[in-house]
Amino acid sequence: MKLARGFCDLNISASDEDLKNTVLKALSIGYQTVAINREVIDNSTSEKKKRKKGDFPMVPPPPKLELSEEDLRQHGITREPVILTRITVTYSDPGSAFLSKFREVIKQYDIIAFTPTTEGALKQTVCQTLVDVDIISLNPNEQGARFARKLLRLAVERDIYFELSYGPCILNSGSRQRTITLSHILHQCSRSANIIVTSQARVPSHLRHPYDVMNLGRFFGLTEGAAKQAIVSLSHNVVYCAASRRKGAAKCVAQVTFLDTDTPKSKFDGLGNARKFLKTNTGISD
Amino acid sequence: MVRFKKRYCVVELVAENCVYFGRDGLQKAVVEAVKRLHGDFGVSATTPGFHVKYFNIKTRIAFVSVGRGPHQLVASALPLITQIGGQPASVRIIHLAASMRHGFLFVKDTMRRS
Repeated sequence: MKLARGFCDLNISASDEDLKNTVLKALSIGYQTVAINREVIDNSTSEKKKRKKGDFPMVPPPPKLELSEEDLRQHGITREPVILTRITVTYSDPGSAFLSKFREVIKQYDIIAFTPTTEGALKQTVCQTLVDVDIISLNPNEQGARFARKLLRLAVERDIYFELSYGPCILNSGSRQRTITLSHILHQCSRSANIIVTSQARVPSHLRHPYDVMNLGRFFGLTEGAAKQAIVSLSHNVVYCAASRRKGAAKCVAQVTFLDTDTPKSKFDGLGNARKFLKTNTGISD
Repeated sequence: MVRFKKRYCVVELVAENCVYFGRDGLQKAVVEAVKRLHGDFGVSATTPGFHVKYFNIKTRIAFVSVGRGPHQLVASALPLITQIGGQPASVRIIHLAASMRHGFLFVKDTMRRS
């Protein structure tokens, strides 16, 4: 189970050629956890109702990126990076058979993100019927209807995080305006809870230093503390929740360990140290 | 309960010639003025809840609704409007109401007095 460490940038959607450069630049800037994003658009029920079965878009398997030690040393990266894979599905109709077809492939990714364009799709995402979703990334370019406050609050309760990308903001003023409007709506509905900030960088030049991103959080209606949380602790939570969902959320295993009779009883004063004891003495890792 | 509060600016359009303005023209002029003064942040902060609700050409009175926080951005940008729909005009704020009904009552009183 890969856990996130340090500053996180959970959306790097670079094409295959620029991917290595972008990831290396992100790691050398200061991010320690990076997620490589693949975007898939579900167009199957958009235009015509009758379509051939072979027209479904393909979902590629997770990309693998190998960074040799020389690369890391060249760019001055001292801390060990954590590289995750992520898939973003743009999704409009809850009745389409897209998800059930590709469920196996989607589950191979570490983080699953959805971009719902209609309210029905958002409802299905939040209620988690087919696939367990970790991040809802609302696309500012698609002018959907206003999302219901109850659904957003339900998502917050279920540990689903909302993503705001600052990459499009750098490019043109239209997307800047729409992203900020989106963040204001989120602030109204759910008091800016569970918001993470990501870069959606396609080229290395779209990346910004973590502390710059924290200052940019002011635009998104976040306070200084909330902005830092958005790239650090909440992103760690996203990765942790995603990993737990992959393993099986509602499953719990009890383990009985026989203690040595030699150990004195004073060692077990206070059950809070039981986990630490088990970790160190029996050599079991997560 | 959470309620999206709005403020309604009661404005009077002042133009030298008797020119025909449209509701769209006023909306675009206000957005442009906010963009000039407060930039992209101003435009996107005022977009939810921004409408030209009532527009009367004969009395030159319009009601502009804005959200309660960002209403100060719009209120500070309204005096800087120099033209509406291509023709030179300016905007004068008469009243800031919390509901349409109170705005109408105020307009009725001022009309009766003058």
